[in-house]
Amino acid sequence: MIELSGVSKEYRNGRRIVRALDGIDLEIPEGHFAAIKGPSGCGKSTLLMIVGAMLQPTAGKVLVCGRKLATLSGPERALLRADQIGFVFQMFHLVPYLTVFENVILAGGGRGRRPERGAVDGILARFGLSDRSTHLPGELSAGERQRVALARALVLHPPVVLADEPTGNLDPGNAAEVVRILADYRDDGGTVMMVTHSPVADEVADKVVHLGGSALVSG
Amino acid sequence: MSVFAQVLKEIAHRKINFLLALIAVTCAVLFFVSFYTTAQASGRETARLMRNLGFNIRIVPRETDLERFWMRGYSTETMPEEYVYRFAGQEGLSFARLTAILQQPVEVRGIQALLTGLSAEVKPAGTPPAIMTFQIEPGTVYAGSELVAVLGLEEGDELAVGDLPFRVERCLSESGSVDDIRLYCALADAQSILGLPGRINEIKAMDCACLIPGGDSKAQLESELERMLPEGRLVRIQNLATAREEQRKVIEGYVALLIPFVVGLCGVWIGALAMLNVRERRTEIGILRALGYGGGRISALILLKAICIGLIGAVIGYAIGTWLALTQGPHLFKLTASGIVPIAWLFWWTLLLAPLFTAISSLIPMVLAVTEDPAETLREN
Repeated sequence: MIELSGVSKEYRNGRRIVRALDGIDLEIPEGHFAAIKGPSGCGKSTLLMIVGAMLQPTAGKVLVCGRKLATLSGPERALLRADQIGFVFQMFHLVPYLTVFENVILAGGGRGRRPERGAVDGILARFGLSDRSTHLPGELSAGERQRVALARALVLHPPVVLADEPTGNLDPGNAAEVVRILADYRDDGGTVMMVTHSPVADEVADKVVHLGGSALVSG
Repeated sequence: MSVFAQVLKEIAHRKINFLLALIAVTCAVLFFVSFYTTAQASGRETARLMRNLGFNIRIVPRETDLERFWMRGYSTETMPEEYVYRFAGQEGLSFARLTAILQQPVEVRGIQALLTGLSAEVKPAGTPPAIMTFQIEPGTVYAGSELVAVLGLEEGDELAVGDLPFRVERCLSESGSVDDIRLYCALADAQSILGLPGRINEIKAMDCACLIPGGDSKAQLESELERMLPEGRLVRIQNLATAREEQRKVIEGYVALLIPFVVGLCGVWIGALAMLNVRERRTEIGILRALGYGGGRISALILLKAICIGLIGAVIGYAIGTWLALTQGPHLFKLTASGIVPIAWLFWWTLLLAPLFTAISSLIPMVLAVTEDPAETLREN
């Protein structure tokens, strides 16, 4: 489902070149849960953005859902994100002026597949957010916001879910809840790649990948 | 969710931001509209003030002895009255407001007066319709202040001039010039009193500066006179002519400098606000791009909001700007106060240009927003 071979990423910082990733080889089969771990600044989020077709690697090959990302144009990458990938971020990244319901219905990027009203109501009910559907993100707790972000990521049942430290701003109870939801999604056949520091993820992950100094240490 | 619905929700959410942007556009538009409306009024007021300085061109019979003309203040030679009508309806002339005059001294109740018969104004094509000279009804006279004082005249009095009886229609206030001993009457009456039917001894006019493209305006006038009336001779009162031309140039230069400056300043102002708004929305734009929304939808969100602000700002700005010009303008421009009216075409142009300005001003931040790497945006936030 996700394959990376020899993936490197360099950033230019003035005259200095910073190597965020160095020759990463990684494979995450369909229906697997991979936890990406490592110290801050080791390139975990960069790796996730590359898999999510939001960053181009400097070198290497990336395949997601059978698509070779290097060959895709900008609109094709946007379409891939809309159709095949669900994102969850540490900072939730909900649109602040849209209600819970409207944030969830944004999924799909306005192209092709659009969430059905019933599907949105269903996933909000499943995540305990039915009574919050008309609320704005600013009126929710951190845990509720992250569940809304999860609902948005999962409502269209994308084959791949990428989660960038989704438990980073949550208390242990809510963190465990988020990991449980992602694990359930994996159990339903989805592929999950989650950047995390949380030890809770280790218990459910099929694969734990450790990055250190921009390179793969173990996994 | 439609783009428009999303724009409305964003506006409702960021009310302060929207209000600030709206205030900026409204201020820019009202400043422009009030400035333009009052600049038009200023131009009219200046033209009126310059016009009120009086005629600056005198056309006398060619054989006039100028030495005697200046000594007496009028030409002793005469020419046919019909000469003045040659100018009527002619196009492209630099002469405006032509009036045929017959003036000579007469004795009224033992007092010397300068009898001045005036024709109706003759209007070449394209010259303004306003009337400068007295429109004197036959059988009536307007008396200069010195005559009024010496003869003890009052409006409505009977006054015999030569063999003809007249009614004093107006007693003029003191002018401090030869006009104080003038007795104005209709041209035909003056011709009758002086025994010079169908004759005049001067045509007074103004040069229509708007028709003179530049260069030597006196040479232009003389050239036109040679073509229209070879029997006439041009005398131009230079200081008045120069004052008119210079003042007109000053006003035109002032408006030509300030209007682009004002428009440019407002454009930069609106552009800066658009930039700030897009910067504030970087995360939202990053989210939408991460969800797979393309540049078209994101551009539409930014542009539609900019156009909404431009349209609303145009309407409010035009209304307030015009109101300001209508209420404050008359205090500044008293002579032409009634000429300060809402400029309808300015409304339509404002309605077109303000949204265009806001849209163009949003273009750069919009392009930056849709081309910026969403990963970078989301990572920063």
